[in-house]
Amino acid sequence: MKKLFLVLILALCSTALWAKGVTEMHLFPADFQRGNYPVTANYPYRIIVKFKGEAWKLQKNQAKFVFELPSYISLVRANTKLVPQVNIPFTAEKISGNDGEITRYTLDIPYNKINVSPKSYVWRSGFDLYIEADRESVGKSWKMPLYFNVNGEKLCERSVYLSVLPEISAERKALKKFRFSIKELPSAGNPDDSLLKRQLEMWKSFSGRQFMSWGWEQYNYPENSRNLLNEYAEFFFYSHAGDHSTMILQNSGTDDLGFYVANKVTRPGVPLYHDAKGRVNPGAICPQYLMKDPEGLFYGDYLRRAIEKSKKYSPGINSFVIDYEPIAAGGTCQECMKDFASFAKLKNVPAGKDIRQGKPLHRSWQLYKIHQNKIIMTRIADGVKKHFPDMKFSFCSTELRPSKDVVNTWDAVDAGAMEKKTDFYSFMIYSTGLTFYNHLNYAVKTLTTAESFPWIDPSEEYERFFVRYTPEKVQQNIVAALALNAKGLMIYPTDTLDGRYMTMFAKTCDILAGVEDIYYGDDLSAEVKCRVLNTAKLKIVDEKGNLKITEYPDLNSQVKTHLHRKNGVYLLSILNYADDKAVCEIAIPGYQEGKTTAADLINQKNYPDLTTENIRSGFAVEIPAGGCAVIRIGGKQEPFPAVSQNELRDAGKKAAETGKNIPTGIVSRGNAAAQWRIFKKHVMLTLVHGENYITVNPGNNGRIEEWSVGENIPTGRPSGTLGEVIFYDPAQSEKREYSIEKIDINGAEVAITLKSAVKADTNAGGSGNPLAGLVMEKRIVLGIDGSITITDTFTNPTAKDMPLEFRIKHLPFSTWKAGTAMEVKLGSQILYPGVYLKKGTSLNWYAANGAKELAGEPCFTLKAGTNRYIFDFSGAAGLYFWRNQISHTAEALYLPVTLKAGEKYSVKEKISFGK
Amino acid sequence: MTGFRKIFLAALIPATMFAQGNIYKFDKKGNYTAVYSGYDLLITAPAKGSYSISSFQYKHKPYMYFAGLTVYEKGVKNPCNEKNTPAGKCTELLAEAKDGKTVWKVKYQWRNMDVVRTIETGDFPGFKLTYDIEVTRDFQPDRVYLSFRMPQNNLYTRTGYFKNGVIQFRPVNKSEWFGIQRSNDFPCISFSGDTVKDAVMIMAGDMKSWNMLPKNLLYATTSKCYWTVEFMYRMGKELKKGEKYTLSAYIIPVKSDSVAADMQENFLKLKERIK
Repeated sequence: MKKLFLVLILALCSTALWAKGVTEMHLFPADFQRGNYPVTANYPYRIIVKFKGEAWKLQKNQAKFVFELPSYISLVRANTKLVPQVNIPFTAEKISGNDGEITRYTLDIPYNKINVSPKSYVWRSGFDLYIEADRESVGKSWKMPLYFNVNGEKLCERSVYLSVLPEISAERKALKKFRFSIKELPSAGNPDDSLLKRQLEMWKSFSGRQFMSWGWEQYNYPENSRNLLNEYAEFFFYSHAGDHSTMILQNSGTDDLGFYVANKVTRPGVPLYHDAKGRVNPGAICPQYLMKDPEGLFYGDYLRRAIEKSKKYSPGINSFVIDYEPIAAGGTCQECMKDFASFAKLKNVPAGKDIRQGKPLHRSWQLYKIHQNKIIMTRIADGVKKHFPDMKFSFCSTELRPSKDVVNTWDAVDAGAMEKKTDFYSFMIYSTGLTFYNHLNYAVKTLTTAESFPWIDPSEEYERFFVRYTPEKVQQNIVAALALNAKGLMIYPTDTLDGRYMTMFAKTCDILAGVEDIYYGDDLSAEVKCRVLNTAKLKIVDEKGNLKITEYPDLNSQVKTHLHRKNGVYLLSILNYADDKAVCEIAIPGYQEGKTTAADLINQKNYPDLTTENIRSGFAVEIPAGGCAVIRIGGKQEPFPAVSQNELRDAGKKAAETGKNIPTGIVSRGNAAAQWRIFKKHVMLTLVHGENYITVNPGNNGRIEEWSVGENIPTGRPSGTLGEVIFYDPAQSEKREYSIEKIDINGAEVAITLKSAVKADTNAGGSGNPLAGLVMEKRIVLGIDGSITITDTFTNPTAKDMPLEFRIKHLPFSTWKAGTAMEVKLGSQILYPGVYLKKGTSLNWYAANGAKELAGEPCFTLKAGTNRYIFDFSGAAGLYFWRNQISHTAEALYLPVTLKAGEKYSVKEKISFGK
Repeated sequence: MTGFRKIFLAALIPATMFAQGNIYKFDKKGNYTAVYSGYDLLITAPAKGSYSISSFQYKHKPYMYFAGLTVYEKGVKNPCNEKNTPAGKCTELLAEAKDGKTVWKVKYQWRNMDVVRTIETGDFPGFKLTYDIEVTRDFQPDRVYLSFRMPQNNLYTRTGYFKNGVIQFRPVNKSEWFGIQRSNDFPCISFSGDTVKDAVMIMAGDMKSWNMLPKNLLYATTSKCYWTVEFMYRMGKELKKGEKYTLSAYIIPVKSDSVAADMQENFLKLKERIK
């Protein structure tokens, strides 16, 4: 009865909102940062207000948008987003209150100039607010209320927590050669270029002349903006071929050719693209046409005229970048299938369904698409060079992979095979940490002629990408890119980043600019030796029976070191990707100079009185957890505090001895055992029960990384995992370390208990981490039948209430490894990828928008060939499945819980395996 | 266990109870021959019983009772093995005990082959058992296997082996014959139990003969305990006169409550020797 009542209330609320014209609001980027938005004084910052609704209703209801700011923060501008932008009129009413003088801004939104939909946050959804804090307001903070006012009623009321950071000093050096760039500045779409100028000045102060994209929208910029941009930036011609392989040259003055007119192909006789399900895309062209270009126009006049037009608007354009990301599963028209049959030497032309993942022809299809993409990419590159021989050409693609691995990918793009046609690659390495480093390192080491210019997306408006970044991690990316001799680093898509990021950019670019010339001197990275001191040595037998000496925790593999030298000055760049501080011994055997001080420019520390022998044989430095160091050896003295070598070495030794629970080999009782081993190159604990085992990684979310049942390995390499707790709050860290509390192998139950705690934020100001101090205990029981039972218990040891919202992620296997189609079934119902929620429930989580109803208890089976995974998530409110070419997840969604002081909350899941 | 064997072992105990850790010797009494090597002791039948092995002990506690080679020829009912070898067809070649080592070589002349069995002790726990075979006449073998029999009163209720480098245990289920995957990376197995402190580990004496074994090793259990494991060598082709083969294994005492660690430790100690 209570449930029914709640359902009715929710329905009524939604209906009420719908009737008013707005149902939901999203504030970017604040919503992805727990409502926090730090800004630096004396600089404008953008908040994007997105909302779901119906423009005509909002217009009819004369809905206003209202927010309040203190006297020291003002609204610089509010504008629409579609180019050319229109400034939104507003009134500013002064109000006195407990917080002093406040200004209430009321915006009169021109809804006919806003992109809005009731169902989703569409492209260029909503409008922009630019706010700016006074110079004198450093250290102050303000909880900014925002809401729609519809006939006096407040709707979608929200808050953004603003805090004012110190102004970014103008006294800085800019990078000269390394192209640290911003792809686009949306403020350029506004007739008032004053804001744009300030932003260009700021970015110029980081890294000189920006390298920015010229796409279809830039033609619509006001002329004054274009002139300003041409003054401050070098543009590259930017095109894209997403989902399909069709190079889109929109707004290029080529409508007469009919290749892309108002998002459609209008040219008669040009066959259209069929996607993976056989649906026709009216705006994309069949790959057969793109391979052959039968009329000689597509890579001829169409391409030439498009580039010519861009050069008229921006004469400095001398690079062509195409974002090439086709989906390999598409291109399935009859002609394409015939061509595939010929390529694969098949007797019959297969149907579209015959080439899907899990089918026997899938691998051949992937090989065919690699071949097809090579032809199309070659046509594009050759076309550009034919018309403009001096133009630099770049493929913007996913990261460089070995050719043999491309067959396993969703895009089937062998970027490396195009090196002879490419001047530089714009790799979308949308990540941080070792993932970013390893991909970029591989590219730089592998390519022989083309340069690498990686892109990262810290201002991407999708939560899935946004949460990968923090200012500290992006700083690592910048240092890594420079140390690895990349051409630059592109920030995609815009500058909608908060004051922490801008402060970090300013500081980092200033530091690196001071030593930039050393990076372009001699690269001695192969000569430097780095050894982490604060780890314990372990002897562990690997799975081939070899005794390995390894370290625990594994820090050495997470610390990357580079050394450069110019004119007798050495520069160490050290990246610590571990969650622990690293105390490292650095040795430069070939060091030539005399006694000196080493200065860590990033962390502002001096390592004084280092002799030549010290530097040749080894001296100690420390790098913060998840941080980096740029240490200049020689050169001018810096007024930093000194760090003692003895103290560092002692600290390192102490940490190694007393640190975490040190593994002890192998222990067995009866039919059970606990065995430390090296798995996936990391030290992990394997729990054995009879002829079944699981391998647990305490260092990475306490997750299970391997599961063996008898002769089967249901979960394992390359990336299978089970039992990860992930909070819905995107600002929570995705990775945490657990410690082992207990291993039970003595009694009837074979189990391991792990513990972790959520750390507090280290950011000054703003809303702190509401889960700081939360104790997370994970107990994993391995049954004699091979089944796994995972119980996660959350305890609030603090005096404050904690809002607990989480899901538990399982990635039981790789779809590719499974080599066959998968099917998820709940009873007789097939569950396709997506979110399923029990009736009457909802979640405050981006992926839960548009959830389907879960008919029944969340107990289901996942079949992959003859393998069956049986999941019992009885306590969950819903399910989430996500898949791509490689992976398929099965995730339990739990309803939010308010954990009061001292309270505990547990959830339990069981996974079994059968044939 | 047969009545004879009980009496035999009972008679043995008073003789061995005063054996010291530093004794290395051969003891050939009327009813048995014993190899002493520190705390290790191996008992075989006397020469007239062809020296067939009947007990492995550590500090007087038996942990394995029989190990031996058997060769069946196609079409011939009676096999050749140590037990069946008549006196006169069995010659002691060497019995040496000194400097912490023992080496005992005995030659058997069988129907189609000469077999030299070497029992060794030394700087490793337990015994190494080696059979050097020289074919003396062309013949078609049917089965060639090394048998290892567990003392049933020891109640070994589980076998241990490594799969993917991870220790696995298979408890006794019922009376049956079955196979368990043989590991190439960890060529060893163990037998242990909850009610017995002492256990046994069998490890490849050399990788060449280990790799002559099938994918699965053959085991048998009673309803209560492990009874035997048979190393059934893949020697199905006709053997020609002059061909030589070596089949060997280590038989090592371990402890039930640390069987996995003991297996790993012994494996690491010996792995370079067996390559």
